[in-house]
Amino acid sequence: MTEPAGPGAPAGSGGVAMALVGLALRLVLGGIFAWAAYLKISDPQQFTHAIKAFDTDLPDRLIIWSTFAVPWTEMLCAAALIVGVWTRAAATTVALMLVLFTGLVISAILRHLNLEHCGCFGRQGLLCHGPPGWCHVGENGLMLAMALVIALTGRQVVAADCLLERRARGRA
Amino acid sequence: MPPSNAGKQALRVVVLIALGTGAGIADSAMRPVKVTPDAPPPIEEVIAGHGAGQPLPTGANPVPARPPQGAPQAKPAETAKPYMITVEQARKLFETDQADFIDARPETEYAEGHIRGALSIPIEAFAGQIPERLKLIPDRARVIIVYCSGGNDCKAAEDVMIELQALKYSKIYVIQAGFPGWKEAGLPVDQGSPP
Repeated sequence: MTEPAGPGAPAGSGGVAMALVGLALRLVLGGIFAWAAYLKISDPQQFTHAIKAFDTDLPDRLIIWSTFAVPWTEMLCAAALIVGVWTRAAATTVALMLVLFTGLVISAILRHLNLEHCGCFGRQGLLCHGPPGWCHVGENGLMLAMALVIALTGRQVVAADCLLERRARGRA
Repeated sequence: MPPSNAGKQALRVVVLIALGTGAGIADSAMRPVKVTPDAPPPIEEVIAGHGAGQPLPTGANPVPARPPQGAPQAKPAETAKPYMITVEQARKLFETDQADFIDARPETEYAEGHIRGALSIPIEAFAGQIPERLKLIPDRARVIIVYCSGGNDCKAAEDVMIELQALKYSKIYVIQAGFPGWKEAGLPVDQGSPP
């Protein structure tokens, strides 16, 4: 499963290096999202409080669904990135979620909301700690860049997508 | 990315979101969470039969007080919730020692000023554990008054109330005017970090 897939398959050492960078990005981003999802799924009431704290005026039912739908979507995308199934779609979904999260953080900063933490990683933080701030925007920007590289390059190694593509080509 | 491939990727994105949402909705049915607290017994029943104490000083305002300058404006009280009580009601319970007070604000704000004798238990203290300071209130039937910075949308106090109800405390109320209202009424306050 080390052969890259698709029309963007790497050629030569430069292509292989890019593919390896893609693999590293997938594992790092997938790991981060799996961790974030686990923290939210393991204590849903705390995540409900975190969503409420952003003062979005969402109906209660939508807050409850978001409490569970967001981390499960994160977990699903994390698994897809790590295993390498539907890699580009998973990276795109992660990018969309990051845009949404960043919008919420910026909105909290601009409205001077008195929040203890952003709830992104439960009570913990990745690179940034404390109340939502521009550090969190930068952190999300970094992850967004990683997701976009994976989504746009389409070069994967050690991915289930490679097997699936090879099988599809064999049938053709 | 050729158009057909872009369409395939977009469809996969929709499928991933739909699967995540479906799993989430199924999970929410198995592990209910609360957005708003349950209504406690009417505060009048709790206060009834006990001394009303001294009236508030002249000019004291039992309804939402004006927040300090620079603080976000509290919303008006027209949609008061069943667990919201006035400063006057809280004062009666304070003076007859019928209730314990919990400060739901961050510890830094508690240190700057808090209701005398209040425990500092912000919502973060409940993450995956029972807050150590809650051991000081072992009686689940004891009246607990939670407060934050005031206003009808005092989410920090509401969230602490939800966590307390999950721990089977039944008589929990929130001071609608919060700490600013209590302070403006000239009622006892202390300063300093939580012990």
